[in-house]
Amino acid sequence: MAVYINGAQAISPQDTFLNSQIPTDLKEYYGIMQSILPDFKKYFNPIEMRRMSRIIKFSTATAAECIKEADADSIDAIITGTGLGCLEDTQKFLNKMLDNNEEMLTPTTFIQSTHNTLGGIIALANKCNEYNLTYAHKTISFESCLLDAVLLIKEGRKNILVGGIDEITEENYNLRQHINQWKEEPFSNLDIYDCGTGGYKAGEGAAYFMISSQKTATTYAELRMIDLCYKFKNSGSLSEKIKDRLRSAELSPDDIDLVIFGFNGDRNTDVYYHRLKDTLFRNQDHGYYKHYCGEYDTSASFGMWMATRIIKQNHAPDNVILGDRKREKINNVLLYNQEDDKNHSFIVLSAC
Amino acid sequence: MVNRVFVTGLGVISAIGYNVAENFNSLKSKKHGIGKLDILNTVHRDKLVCGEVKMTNEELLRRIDLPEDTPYPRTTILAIHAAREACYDAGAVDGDSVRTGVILGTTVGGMDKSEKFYRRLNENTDFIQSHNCGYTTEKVADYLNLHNFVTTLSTACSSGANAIMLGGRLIRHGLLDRVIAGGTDSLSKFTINGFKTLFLLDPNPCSPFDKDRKGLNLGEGAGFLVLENERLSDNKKRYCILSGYANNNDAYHQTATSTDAKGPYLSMKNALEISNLKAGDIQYVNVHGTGTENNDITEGLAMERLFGGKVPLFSSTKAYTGHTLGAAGALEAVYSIMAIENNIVFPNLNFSKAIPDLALSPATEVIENAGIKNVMSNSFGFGGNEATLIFSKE
Amino acid sequence: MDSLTKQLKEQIIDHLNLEGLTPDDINENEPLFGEGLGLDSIDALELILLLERGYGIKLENPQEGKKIFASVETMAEYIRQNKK
Repeated sequence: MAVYINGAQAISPQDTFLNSQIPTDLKEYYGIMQSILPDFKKYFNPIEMRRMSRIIKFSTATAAECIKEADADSIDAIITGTGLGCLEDTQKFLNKMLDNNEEMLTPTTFIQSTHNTLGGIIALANKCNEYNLTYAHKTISFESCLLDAVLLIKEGRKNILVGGIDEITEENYNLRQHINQWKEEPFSNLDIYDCGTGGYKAGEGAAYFMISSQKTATTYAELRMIDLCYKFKNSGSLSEKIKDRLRSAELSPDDIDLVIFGFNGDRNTDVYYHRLKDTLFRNQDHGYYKHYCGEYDTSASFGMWMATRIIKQNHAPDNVILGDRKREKINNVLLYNQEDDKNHSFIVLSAC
Repeated sequence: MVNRVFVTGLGVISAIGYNVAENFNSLKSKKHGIGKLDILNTVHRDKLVCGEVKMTNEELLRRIDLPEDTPYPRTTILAIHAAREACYDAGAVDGDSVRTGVILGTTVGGMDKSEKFYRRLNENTDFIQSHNCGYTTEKVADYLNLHNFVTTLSTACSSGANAIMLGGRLIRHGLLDRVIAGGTDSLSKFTINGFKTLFLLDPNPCSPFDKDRKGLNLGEGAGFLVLENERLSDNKKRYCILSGYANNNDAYHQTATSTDAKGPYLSMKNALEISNLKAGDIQYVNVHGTGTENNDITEGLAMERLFGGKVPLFSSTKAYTGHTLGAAGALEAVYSIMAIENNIVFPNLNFSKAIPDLALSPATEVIENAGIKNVMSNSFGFGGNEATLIFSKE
Repeated sequence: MDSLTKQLKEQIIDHLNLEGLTPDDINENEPLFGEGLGLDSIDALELILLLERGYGIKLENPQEGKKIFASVETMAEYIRQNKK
């Protein structure tokens, strides 16, 4: 049973929102990479906005535009993925609790801090009583949603809204500096590839997709494969496993025209991508995306947004491509992301 | 897609016991676990009662054969404790030789540790990495030596039930052969204060479904099931089948349930449909029954709507354990399966007068030989998230 | 509009984060909840803290809030009578 992507919208640190193209004039960030936000007054009135933190606003607006674009008859499920959920609200409640020694607190930030606030608000806005789940598993939060969406399509549902959303706050950035997660500042997002140092750039964003059982006028691509694996190396070599997983989707490595890797500038992580790039996928085109959006738990959703544009236009801009172009037509794109050799994810989009 | 899903292992830790047998004995002997806090240090400790697991992290770590200084949040320790029991129970100790998934539901992840060290970074920075919800799932998988599939759900108070639902679906689709699925949450100042600001905490032991109910008590714990496909569970003890499940959204308000209880009604109705059962086939409902004004009236209305005049025996076990948030759906799945296994209905403690607008009263005494074949378990959460599971005797 | 009423409106806008609204957008005699301004039960809990912090009035039972927070005017009246 074929599964299609009929809507794809993203808010990110680049000019991506409502953009049918992948921007080529990249915004440069030397520190934290925060999203470029639209005028939210176009989306919400003051009463609706009163409890919305930044992430809730940019998530909800992205979802609204994705729903509008796909123009589906129904929304049969809403599945959101977020590594840390509504971080700003969580911090606010936590800080007030610690500052005031557990007195004089109010409920709003507590309520809004739960991870499923993001999906719940979209259900509310669309009066959607259907299936509504939120995955919160680090770097596979978004991919878990995609996997679930494919199951739901097989179970007979038609249109599934799927999103990957995370925010970065100054406070969280500073906190994670204590465990040396970031690149030493100043460091440009444009220099992350093969930079030879540790740490990565902090990013954020929201990307929503309408996953559907039917091909329509707004279809970008077919979602051919979604697969996840925890701690790959313990159960055989990476190349063999990938071949095996591709085979289950009736694909061989040679069918893949472009591999988009999750290179994030941390040499310890990137070594796994380099290895595949130079061996199993040496005859394919290679690309990357985290210089656009930074690294965050659901950054793979930005990668998939990028892949929808590449497939639809049969072209990847120079900013995305690493090395020489070898393929004329981009029929199949593999997105491969992993976190410290722990959570590996594979997404294949195909032209249709 | 007709692979049946069998429950072959159970594990639980809560305020009423450190394992399945102890929980069962407490439920049967009406021994609740609600009382003053001894472990968690909050300024409100003298003004509220909770369902606290009365062992320190160090004591719990010793029970799971880990060094006392293992830097895990309490949420993680509770999860490993219950998951280990479930796997031993199922004989599911063969690591990666079976396609196994570990799926967990939790609300605030490692918050218990984060809130302790957030302002004490010079003492401890481990919490920065153990804060996220997925951390615990990975530690459970690592402990059980499983390297294949992990994921984590966070849908407020229905998290544990949703994890079990996903586990069942992955087996039904033939993507996995075995899933260790459950939920966990430890008590934290964050959640206690959160519910306090909502005026949802009863300072005394809660009384679910009672006319004069005044709110909930928070609790902590973890519950896990081992789910297996037909082939794997052949020739071993099968407790029951996970026959039905559903998730729906109330789409009404961030915290309150709609007056016509649409979401809860839909999740119960859709779970029945999946199980191919009729409302009349359900003998017992382990209700969400938190003891809050809003939950109990709306859950009751939804049951009246679904079951008509014949609402089956039902009870909330939250007056025993407190509301364990992300663990609740998993804890209560274990209790629902115990009900089938032992053909018993557990009482709803602290009930005296029915809610005037409802023609419903929960079971208030232990009922044995109740002919329990199909049990429904409800878990509802913030964000209008409603989940229902159905377990059936084979 | 007396000064307390005006001050209350400003505090409500600030406390409930009603970005984009001015005191003139709120009619002191219209309902704050439901059909009027459109506030809900969570806002009521926020307003309880506003009374406590701004005027030293502590409500123990959130049910009392229903009457007090009917409109800006009823709120102002309650404050006049109970302010310490």
